[in-house]
This record gives sequence, structure tokens and C-alpha cells, in this order.
Amino acid sequence: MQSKLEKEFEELVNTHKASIYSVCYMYSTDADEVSDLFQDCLVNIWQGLPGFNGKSSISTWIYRICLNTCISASRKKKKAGQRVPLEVTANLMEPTNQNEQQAKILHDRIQKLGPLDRAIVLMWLENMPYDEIGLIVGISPKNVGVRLYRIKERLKNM
Amino acid sequence: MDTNNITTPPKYESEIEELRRQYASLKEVTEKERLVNEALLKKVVSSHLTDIRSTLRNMCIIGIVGTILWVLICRWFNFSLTFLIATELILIADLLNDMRMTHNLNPKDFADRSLLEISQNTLRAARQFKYSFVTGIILTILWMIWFIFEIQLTDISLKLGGIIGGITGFGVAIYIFRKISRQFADADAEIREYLSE
Repeated sequence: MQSKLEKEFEELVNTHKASIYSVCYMYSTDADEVSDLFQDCLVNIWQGLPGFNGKSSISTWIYRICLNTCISASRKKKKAGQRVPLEVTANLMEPTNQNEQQAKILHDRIQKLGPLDRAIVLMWLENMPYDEIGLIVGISPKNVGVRLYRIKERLKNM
Repeated sequence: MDTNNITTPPKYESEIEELRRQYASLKEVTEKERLVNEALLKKVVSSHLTDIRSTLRNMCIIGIVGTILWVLICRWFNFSLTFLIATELILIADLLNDMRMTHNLNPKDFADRSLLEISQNTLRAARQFKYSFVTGIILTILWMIWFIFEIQLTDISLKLGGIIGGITGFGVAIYIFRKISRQFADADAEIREYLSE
């Protein structure tokens, strides 16, 4: 027996799991860390869900929660408690096929950026408009453009 | 589809294409993964209970430290032996109550029990918490009267220290109560919705 909120949460997580996982992956250095961050993101989404007011799209809201979780975790590197492992077969940290290799190349390049630049480039890759990116990270859309220009320049020189 | 509103210079076009390709590969890999399982969902949904348990555990630690420190405080302030013993009994009773509530919200049980059982457990714990808080308030008021009487017998600097300590302790107690009440209220709202299904 599941409540309405639980069903809604389960559907939401399944719809956005790839985005959530992508953010966690980009802020992690190993598979265990991805799993820990993923779990923290789900906890924060679950706890924030009753208060979601629909002012932004649900995907933007989820993205904001995931980025906040990952950025603050990368600052604190807190000790994780007992964790439930994720159901994941691919090992993106040690790629075995072409797709996984491509993802790892992107991971290694993005890892060289600071937490805020990482967030901006991830949202840009998600095709979010500059004003939405600016709202999430707290800078103007024009600044987003400037920062992205510099990020692209840095990525090119890596 | 690029929804961004600043034109990208041509020299970055191939770079951007490459990044997008790599991101598409990452999405393709992760979309295929199941990632979320029942145990994970259960753990996440029970997260409020874990938070409450962690706060209660911290209260137990504070309780143990307080029980030991009280003996030293009583010696320093020259409080009567009766006052020391009475306060120690209150502190120990409170500590045992917190420990029982912490034990009843054991995360190990979450994996074996259904969410309904966990929810009923939480409702019981929330009720226990309310009763113990009301009892605690009554005992604290009585204790404060006795404390004021005991402190009258000490010198002025100790009186000042006692008053500052008392106010700080009261503030901390209210903060902890508000925090736990909020956590229980969140859990309660979820449980009510859960049970209404």
C-alpha cells in the first residue's frame, strides 16, 4: 500500500533519475560517492516535495535540489551513514563500452571545473535557458553567458 | 534544441557538439539503468524517522553528560543532597525515556517491517514524546522553584552563574523541543496521508 505522495515521488524519481544521476556523477570521484549523493538527493527531494509550490518547472526544482545537495556535500564531505546500494549495472568510473567512455571523458573534463561552473555547464547541457540557470545559481542571465563563454574556453584548452 | 539566448562563436561549435554528444551518451547509459529499488525508496521515505532518531540519540548523549555534570555542579554550588538526588532521578528518568524512544525507532526495523508498521510506530513515539514533554514541563516548573530556593543560599556570583545557566538551559530545551516537534509534525503529516489511502 502506497500513499499518493509516495506514488508521485516514485514516478518523479523514475522520470528524472537520469538527470539526478548525471548531477551526482559529475560531483563524485567514485561509484560509492555517486550512490551516497544520489541517496541524499532523493531524501532532499522527498522532504521538499510537499512544499513544492510549482513556481518553477518540476525539472528545474529537482535540478536545484540536486545541485545544492552535491555542492554542499562537496564542501563538507560529510561521513555517510548506512546506505542502500543503487540498482546500477554500468560502471561509469571504469568504462567498458563507447557510451560509458564518452561519459567518463565528459566527467573528467567537468571535474576540473569549480562546483559553480560545473553546475552552470550541466544546466546548459540540459538545455536550460540562461535566465533559469541564473535563477538557480543566483547570477544574472548575462553573467551566465559570460561564465559559459569562459568555461567553454577552459574546456577547449584541457 | 538550444534554448540559450547568447550566440556561440563559431570557433566553439565543434567543442560544444562534442560536449553535447558526451552528455547524450551519459544520459543514454543512465536512462537504461533501473537505479531506484524498493529498499532505497523505503529508506528515503523513512528519512524523517531517521532524523528524529538522530536528534533523540543526541538528547541521550546530552542526558548522560548532564547527569554526570550535575553532581559536580551541585558540589560547586553547595546544593543540598536531597536536591542533587531529586534532580538526578529526573535526569535519569528522562534519559531512560529518550533511550526507549530511540530504541523504538531503530532503522534496522525499517527494512523488515512494512511502511504502515513503521508509521504506526512513529505515531506511538510522537504521542510518547508529547506526554513526556508535558510531564517534563510540570517537573521543570517544580524543579525551578526548588532551584530558586537552593540558589538563595549561595553567594552573589554563584547566583548570577546559576541564572545564566538556567536561562541557557531553558533556551536549549525549547530549541530541541521545537526541532523534534517539527520533525514529528512532518512525519505525522506523511503518515496521516499514508493511512488515509
